[in-house]
Amino acid sequence: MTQYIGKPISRVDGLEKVTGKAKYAAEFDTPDLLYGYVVNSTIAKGKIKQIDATKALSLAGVIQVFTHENRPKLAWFDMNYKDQDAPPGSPFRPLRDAKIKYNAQPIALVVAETFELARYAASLVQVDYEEEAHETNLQANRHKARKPSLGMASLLKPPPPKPRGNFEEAFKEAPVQMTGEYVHSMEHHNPMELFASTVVYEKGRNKSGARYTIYDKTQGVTNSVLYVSQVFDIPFKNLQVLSPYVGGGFGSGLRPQYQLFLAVMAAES
Amino acid sequence: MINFDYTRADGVTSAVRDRASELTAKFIAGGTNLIDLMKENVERPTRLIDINRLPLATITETEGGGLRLGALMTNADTAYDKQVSKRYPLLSQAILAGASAQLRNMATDGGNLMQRTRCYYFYDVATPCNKREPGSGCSAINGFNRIHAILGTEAGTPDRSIHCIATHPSDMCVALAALEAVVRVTGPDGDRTIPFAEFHRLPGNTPHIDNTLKDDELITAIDLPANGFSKNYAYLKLRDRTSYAFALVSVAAALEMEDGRITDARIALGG
Repeated sequence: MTQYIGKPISRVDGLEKVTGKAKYAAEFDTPDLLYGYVVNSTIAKGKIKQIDATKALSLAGVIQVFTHENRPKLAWFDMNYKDQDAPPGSPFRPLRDAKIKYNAQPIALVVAETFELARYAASLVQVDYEEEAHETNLQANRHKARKPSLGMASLLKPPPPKPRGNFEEAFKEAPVQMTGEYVHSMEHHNPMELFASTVVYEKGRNKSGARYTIYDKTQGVTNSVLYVSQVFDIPFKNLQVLSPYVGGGFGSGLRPQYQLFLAVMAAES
Repeated sequence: MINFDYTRADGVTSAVRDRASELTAKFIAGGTNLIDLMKENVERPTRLIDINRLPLATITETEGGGLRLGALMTNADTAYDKQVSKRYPLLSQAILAGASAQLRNMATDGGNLMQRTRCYYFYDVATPCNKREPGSGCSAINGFNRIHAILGTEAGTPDRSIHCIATHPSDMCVALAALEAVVRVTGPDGDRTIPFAEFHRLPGNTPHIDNTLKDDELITAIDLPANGFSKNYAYLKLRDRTSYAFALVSVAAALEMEDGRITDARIALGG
């Protein structure tokens, strides 16, 4: 390592990235590509009473508006939606039902011939909610905290190393002790590459022969392959997920995000 | 974003005429803020009148010995202009404290004055906002308001309730206020000037109106008075990170000194 310390080292993909030559998931243009735009919930908790896409669908060039009401039938069990890095608990399943679990939850996908049209059509989707009281202040709700159960990741990842020494004893006997509580500010992932998935769907002779080439913003293509395969019941051999450049991730790209689900669902339909 | 028409103005007079005949149209120059607002459906102009070809990208001397900044000068070209950086270093410093190099390359001086608040709720059409939709309420007063205003939020009498706590986000404008610049505008009835301190207005009961420019007027230039306070000046900007963040608080200060005594002082507050 010492030969690198204090010396500038170029990243192997640095030049491509800073000159815009590196192609990210949203930049793989193919003939007859359609564009999706997500409608997000504007409440934090409750349910959708009614979702009206009539105005959006009346525009020339708008192909479909997917919601929980008209989405295709998908895998039934929670287990199928758990990816390799899933935390414990029931996984989030996009467009599963009318329930709103968090603010800006994806509740509809507008598919159109251009991105701008999809975005405009999305602004015309009218949603009527039944709102419930929500708790979003983590600090104020700390007394309700509990130890999490072990998730899938605990089975797939190596366990942490065994502790060394005896902290309790050493601390008790320390000549100087300082105890304090520290709270750090909110930190957000802000990768250069936006979350996007492009799905190239090629029809096969029958349903099980269809091929999917997927460009996904991910730090782990195998995780995306497994997820898509489990949720949509597509054999591995018909699936390829590509991410030639990861435009930053910091962990936010480890797990399949909802746009992957929505893009595959739309392509299949 | 809604569909809109696009036309290119070939002169100040025709630009103003076009706007006067369609008040739902907007002028576009650098577009660094307007385009974002259109994408979020906050601004919904029926037409964009492109003014980039108007001959307003110049810096000239005024009769009073000051400088006239053409409205279409970019923020970057203004800040790095030899005359401006030498005679009005406070202005250069303030401009370079704002946005990013890329944005300063696109954004114009006239546009800098016309940019809108960066209040999160103003941008989120799912939330009430008196500036975006008069009478709908203010989400910021009881929301996340770390970047919002401390001063100048009270509405006038008889209703002393607060309608809006949004701030104007510009750094450049804080320096222009301290320098007592003058905004030159052209309307259908001709030209007029607006002293800088009278250009932006407090929210009062009508927070949707940002400034005293009329709907059919166009900013053509900003005049800087002869005295640029180039010896004793500072633009201080406090923010959560030292680049590409709006001010929590900012101060433009300029002093005129004679024999160790202050003979003139200007202090403008922003953020």
